[in-house]
Amino acid sequence: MKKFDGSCGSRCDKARERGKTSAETGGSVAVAPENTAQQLEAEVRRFKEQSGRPVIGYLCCFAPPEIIAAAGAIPFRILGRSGEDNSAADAYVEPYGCTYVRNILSRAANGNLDFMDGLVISHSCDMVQRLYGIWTYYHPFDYSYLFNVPHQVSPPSQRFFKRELAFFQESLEKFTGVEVTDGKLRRAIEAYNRNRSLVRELYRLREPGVRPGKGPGIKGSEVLELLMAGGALPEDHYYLLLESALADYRNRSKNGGTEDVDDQTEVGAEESRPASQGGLSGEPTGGSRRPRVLVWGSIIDDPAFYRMIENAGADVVADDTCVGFRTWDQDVPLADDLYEGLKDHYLLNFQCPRTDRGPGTARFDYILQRARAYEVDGVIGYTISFCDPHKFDYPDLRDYLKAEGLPMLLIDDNYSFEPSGAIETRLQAFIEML
Amino acid sequence: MSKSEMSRAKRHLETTAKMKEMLPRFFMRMIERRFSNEPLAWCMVGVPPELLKAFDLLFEWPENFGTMCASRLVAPRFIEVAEGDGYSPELCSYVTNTMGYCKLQKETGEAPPESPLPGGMGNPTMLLGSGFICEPRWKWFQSIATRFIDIPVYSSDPLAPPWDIDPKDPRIEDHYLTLMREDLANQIEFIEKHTGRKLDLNLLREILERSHEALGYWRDTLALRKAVPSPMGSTDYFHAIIPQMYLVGDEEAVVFYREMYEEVKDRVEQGIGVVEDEKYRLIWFGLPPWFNMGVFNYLESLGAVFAYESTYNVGDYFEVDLSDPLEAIVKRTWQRAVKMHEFGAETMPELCNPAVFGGFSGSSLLEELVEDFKLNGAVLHLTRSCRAVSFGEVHTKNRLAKLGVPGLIFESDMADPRMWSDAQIKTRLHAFLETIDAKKRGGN
Ligand code: SF4
Ligand code: SF4
Repeated sequence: MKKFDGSCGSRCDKARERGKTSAETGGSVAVAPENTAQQLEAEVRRFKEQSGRPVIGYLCCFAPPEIIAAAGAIPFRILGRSGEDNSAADAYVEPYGCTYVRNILSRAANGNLDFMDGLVISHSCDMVQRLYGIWTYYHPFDYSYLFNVPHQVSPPSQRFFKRELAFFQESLEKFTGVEVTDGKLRRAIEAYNRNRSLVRELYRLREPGVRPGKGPGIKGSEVLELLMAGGALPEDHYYLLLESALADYRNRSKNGGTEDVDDQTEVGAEESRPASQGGLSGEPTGGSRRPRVLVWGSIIDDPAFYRMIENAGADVVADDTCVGFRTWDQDVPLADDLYEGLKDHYLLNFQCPRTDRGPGTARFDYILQRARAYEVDGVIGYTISFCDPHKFDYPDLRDYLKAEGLPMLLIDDNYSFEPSGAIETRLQAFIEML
Repeated sequence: MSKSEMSRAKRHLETTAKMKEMLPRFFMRMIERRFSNEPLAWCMVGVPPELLKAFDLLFEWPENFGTMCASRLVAPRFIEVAEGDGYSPELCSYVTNTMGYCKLQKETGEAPPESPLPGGMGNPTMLLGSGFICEPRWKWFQSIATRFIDIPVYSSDPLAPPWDIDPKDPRIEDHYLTLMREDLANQIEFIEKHTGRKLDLNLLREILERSHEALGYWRDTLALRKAVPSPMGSTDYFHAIIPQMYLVGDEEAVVFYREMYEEVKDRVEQGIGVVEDEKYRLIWFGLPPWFNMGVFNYLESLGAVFAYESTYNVGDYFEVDLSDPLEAIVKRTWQRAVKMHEFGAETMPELCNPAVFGGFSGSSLLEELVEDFKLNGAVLHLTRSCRAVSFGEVHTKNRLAKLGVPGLIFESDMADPRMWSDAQIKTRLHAFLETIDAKKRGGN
């Protein structure tokens, strides 16, 4: 596998040296997700070695991993390492860019993603599509594909999307030498759908009425940790993980406590700061129910932010983010024409603000429905630097929710997820108000 | 914020000076018609102006309105209103300029008095968007119609193949052209519905003929800037694009660009340059700082002239068969994308949007430009709020370095002057010109 072409030279080395000791990394919370992500990557490396199958990294939710799997490769959803030093990216891209994208490029430049044999990026937002060109220029992969996605859901756009699926599949077949038959693709979709239904079970543990008078059966931060594994582990491994996690959490629900499973699910350092309200476990105190919130926004691939909310006294019971429920809430329809189902799922049903669903607020109805179903008291938005799709939608969404009686708080952050006094104060003030 | 000494710009050509009368004439005609409540479309670059002319549809370009607000220094007012409404300062300042404007208009029921045009942008009856260039375009009109003016929107969705997909593969060509054709047909159907007018293809063809004639003069004018000394600089360049938005397809535009061509040709023949002692020949990347266009004159005072600008460059892409005017519109967009592939698309940051506005950066086109225009430096304007055009400039700078051309990236914005500092810019420009000097002397 070829390395970056070296034009960043000593600068990269310096960045590499600085690596984790950088002031930007700091903070005890950053340690936990890093370990999780590291463990997941180690798992992928091991699986790659055992199976001899190539690892194809992908970003965003438009190019179906089902096709990658059916073509005999290991789909690996590339997540960032929030809070890491991104300076290795400076040799290739400007500072004014989505911090998640810069983080990924910097990780690639530092050789941290060198277990990937291929790269698939979908044209979701401007930042991501440019990442493709620049990344593959400095670092050609054995296989790379930019999956082009229309912004509309009109009939011509839908036809384009379906045809793009075919081109994508063809390119994968050429690379892996494995023909994607209808049967293989169907089986891959079924396996993914099976996982989707288990994830929905996990979400259900936080539905109202599951544990009357008590907090949710699983914390938002715990759900997110499990979801992050979903992009990294092979489908069947993930299925086993979800099954055992579900059993644990159901048990916890039955036994009435959350503490007993905390030890198994919290990875790495425990929070050092005291919780402002209630207990760390999410149990309500004095019979009053903790506020329930839905989190909306840009990529959140680090449970630290949810922990901040939990520590500030609320329960994250639902979300609308790209690694979160957006990915899992519906099955891929198993139509006779499998592409029709993939198109419906990935273009029409997948709710990312980069897709134009026309003017008006109907485009937010699904968020409201989710908020109602989970009896949410407020919505916390999280946007990262230079994330156009989400930042543009915020004022419309805020006003829409307000009109429906749901308050919204926006946290605009730098993809650091580090507890900062300013963010915590705002979270606490908002939660107190709920 | 003290006023920059660069806020006023001097143009060099007599032809562009004429715009002072030509544009107000056009705007007056337009404003009169607006008063009679005719349909009015707010549009985005990517919507063919010829199509609007063929429908005899009144139109306005919020992005161009943004440049006007920026150069009259009223954009900050509108942008601050938008920020107060929850729009992040990171977002495209043309968009936030529009959002602030719309909010004020909605609150008061009339065009904000700060508007550079009397009556502002008028009261639109439809929005014609296009994802031709960037992401913010998808949210811009969607939000206007959601928050401020409840009118129908059509956003066209043209795509182009990424760098490593061969556009000459007939299946790929069909994949993309089919989308563009269907999209254009839908756009026309939408305009027909909301104007109650029928598209006249013969008229469209005639308009395209005139527009391509004008654009041909424009392209030839730009090629004349290969001459040493360069006969035309950036202040003329950036102003001369405005008739392309409003007048292209009219005989007036043909005359304008022909006269411009003749004037520039004359200057070449007589050896008249923008600067007397031309020491530095530069290429400009990105959108200009519309509020401080005098920065170009400042550089000229130091012997530096821009012979080429990466943005708003039409290239040869309009050389298409006009017998089927709809196919011609599709093909000129497509040809632009194909051409970029031919120039060595492997080095392009992206190519999913057919405008590839900032994207030709790394291709062999760069080599060609450096040689043909005898360039010895590049200034890359990193516009904080427009990443669509500026994200990729570090990459371009890397590529230029390989060609021995030093580049300066400086940070500011196209409409929002808040990041600008005269002193800082001057220091950086001076240091940069010294780098070029050192390079000329054989150093690094
Ligand atoms: S966080 Fe926003 S800008 Fe970044 S990749 Fe995701 S959608 Fe794009
Ligand atoms: S290209 Fe840049 S300036 Fe133009 S609309 Fe897009 S983001 Fe704004």
